[in-house]
Amino acid sequence: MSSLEITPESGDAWDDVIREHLARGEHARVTFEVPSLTPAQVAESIGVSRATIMRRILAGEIRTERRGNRHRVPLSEVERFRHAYVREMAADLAIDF
Amino acid sequence: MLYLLAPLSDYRLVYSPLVEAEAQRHQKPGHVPVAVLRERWDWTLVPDSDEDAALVDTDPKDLPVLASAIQSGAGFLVTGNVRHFGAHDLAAHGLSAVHPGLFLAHHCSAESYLEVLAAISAGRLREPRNPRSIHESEIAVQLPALFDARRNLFDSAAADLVHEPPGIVFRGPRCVHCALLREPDVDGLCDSCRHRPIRLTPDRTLS
Repeated sequence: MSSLEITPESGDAWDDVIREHLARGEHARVTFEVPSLTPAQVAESIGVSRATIMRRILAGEIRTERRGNRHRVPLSEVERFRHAYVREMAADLAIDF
Repeated sequence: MLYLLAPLSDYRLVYSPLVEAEAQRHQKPGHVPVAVLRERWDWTLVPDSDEDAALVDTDPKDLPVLASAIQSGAGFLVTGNVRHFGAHDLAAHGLSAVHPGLFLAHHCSAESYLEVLAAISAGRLREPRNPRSIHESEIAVQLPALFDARRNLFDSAAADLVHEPPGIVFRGPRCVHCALLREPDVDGLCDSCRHRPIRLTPDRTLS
């Protein structure tokens, strides 16, 4: 079994790859998903700890989707939170800066 | 600015307890202690170095700072006192010392800079209170290289707004722009970065 990830930037090459597999008698299963990150990846991307991200998720400040019992944060939500986090920190530091 | 721009940029900041103590010593009365801010905003603390690194030409009072940076595996030591860090010591450990203004000039995009200026001005109760005046007064004085790199964003910004810049803004073997060990010049740029159009808008990778 092999897998193929296709994104909006992938171009058209995936079409031929799938045809090639079908021609060999294989079946293909296609799933569509919103791109997302794990809490650890969100933490790495923003530069905070995973514990901070989990705390924000549990407080309802970061919207997630569940995959089984795991949280996934859609990329659009990562970007919303990133900018909200900067504004929040700036408000807090504005007096001292 | 370093901390506000970090989530929007391509670098991670760490500092040691000794640096925190020094920063707190210089805080004005009434300001929130740096240690409290660190806990509130989840800033990363790395240990002070527990070993005497073999350092030869760094200012003795900054030896622990450099030793901690080496131990933590940092690529850059961002400091207002670049001249305190010796060329030999930096070269021996693949580390560059760089003034925060020059570092930010190469590691934050115009968009991110404007966003952070707007966020600061939104929370300000004292002057300067708008992005342009913060840029032209505080940034011009404290982070002159960043002001210079972004002067086109507020087209009235004139050259004489930059106060006396620090004498030495960069020292070390790692290019301030590409972060590779390419023997950069005194302005922090290696030959390769100097001879290609430099984008001052680093991409942020999400995974």
